[in-house]
Amino acid sequence: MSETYRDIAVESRVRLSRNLKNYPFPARLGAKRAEEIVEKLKVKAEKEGLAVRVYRDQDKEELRALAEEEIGSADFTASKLPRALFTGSDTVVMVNEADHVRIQAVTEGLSLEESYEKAKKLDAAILGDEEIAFDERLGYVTSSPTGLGTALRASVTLHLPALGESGRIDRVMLDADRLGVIIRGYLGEGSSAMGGLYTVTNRTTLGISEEEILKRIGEVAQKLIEKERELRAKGLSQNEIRLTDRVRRAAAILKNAYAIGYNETMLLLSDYRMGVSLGLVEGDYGKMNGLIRAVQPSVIWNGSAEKTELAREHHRAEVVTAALA
Amino acid sequence: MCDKCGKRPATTIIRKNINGKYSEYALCAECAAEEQIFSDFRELVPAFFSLPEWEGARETVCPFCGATAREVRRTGRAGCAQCYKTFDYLFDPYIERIHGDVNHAGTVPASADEEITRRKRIRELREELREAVEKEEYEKAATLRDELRALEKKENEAKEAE
Ligand SMILES: [Zn+2]
Ligand SMILES: [Zn+2]
Repeated sequence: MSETYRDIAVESRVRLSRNLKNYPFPARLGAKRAEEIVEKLKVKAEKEGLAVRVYRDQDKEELRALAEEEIGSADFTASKLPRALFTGSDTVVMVNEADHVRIQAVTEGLSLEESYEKAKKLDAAILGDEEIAFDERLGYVTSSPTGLGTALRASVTLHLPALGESGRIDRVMLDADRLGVIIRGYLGEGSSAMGGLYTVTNRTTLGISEEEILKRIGEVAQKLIEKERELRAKGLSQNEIRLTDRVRRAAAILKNAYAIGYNETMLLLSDYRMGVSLGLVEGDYGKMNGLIRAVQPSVIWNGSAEKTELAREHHRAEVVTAALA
Repeated sequence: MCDKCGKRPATTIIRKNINGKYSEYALCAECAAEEQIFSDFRELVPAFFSLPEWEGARETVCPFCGATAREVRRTGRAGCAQCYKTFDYLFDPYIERIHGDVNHAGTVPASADEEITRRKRIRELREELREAVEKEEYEKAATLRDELRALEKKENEAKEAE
């Protein structure tokens, strides 16, 4: 796929789960053998130039920080085992989460193949010499039966404000489900997506090849993108003045705000991004993608010296105006 | 106010690690609980406890990892790769409900590739050996037998390790 649809596709993510043969899964692994796995994989990660962080039960301080950070991975936080995070610029490897190894790669736009290649390369680099838990019928054996087979999750985050507002997204969600594909709000659920952002992910992993999963998710994403473009064009032709006004106001507020909340920022970024795609205002997709993360409450919290709500809103406005200046 | 529903007051700050980058949300108790569940695809699968009760009622234990049928039922997860064989009566219907009645159709890891190739070679060697003996080609048969024994030894070692 050469076109990456950056006007609508924010990012493409691929996640691979792997387990070592001859070791129980982390839930029944025990500290000694968990340490063994961390130690041998750490060496490979360092060779790959990844940043290595190792966590152990006794690191109370780090564990507390982790408990706050890792809610996206309850297993990693709650675990008492030695475990590790290996991070690269667009890759993350988790060791001794629910499975021994979880590899994630993310790229901008609709580019699942590229993300998959990165994950696959890392898989070979870190686990190439290891014996992997594999079964001819079940494929890569994972702790949860939901991930058997390829043990691959592919997801694309899309900006679909027009589809979302039209209410048609619910219908599309049902259709996708029949293909084993799930569409849901990037933050939230169903059609209540934050800033018009949705994620398309595969539900099934067994009985389907890696290529087929990527192809299927890519195709659903592409259909959504086409529908979104169509609705935007229609909206523009029917209501150019209102739409242009809305987009320009969004741009003006984002570029001039002195204090701004998270919800408002996401709504305005959504309008602004749509305006850029329709050629109504100037803007850079990379910067806007970066802002989705940079305005998140945690990042703002960390960057703001004072922790009052107003101070944080002020800091957020500084981040936004600086990025869009 | 809650960042997700915007309706209820926020009581929990939730930090998420998305590919190594952190995001923080202020959520109400209800949305926070939901977010926990939504974080791991667990919402996508039917409840594990709805599985038909096993009639034997005796507690099965996985010989490799020590997981019990009760644990598997409670968590919906395997304790090791062997668990899928030990508790096939629990997992198989569940797997079929999630993925359909299917076999693996994706790539094979290098290590397993070796095993599959080895098994195939063992079958071939047995056939060749039988033919050689039939044709009274004893020298050839001896060579084949040596190769076969070496592979069978490897195969048995691999089985024991499992
Ligand atoms: Zn809420
Ligand atoms: Zn087991």
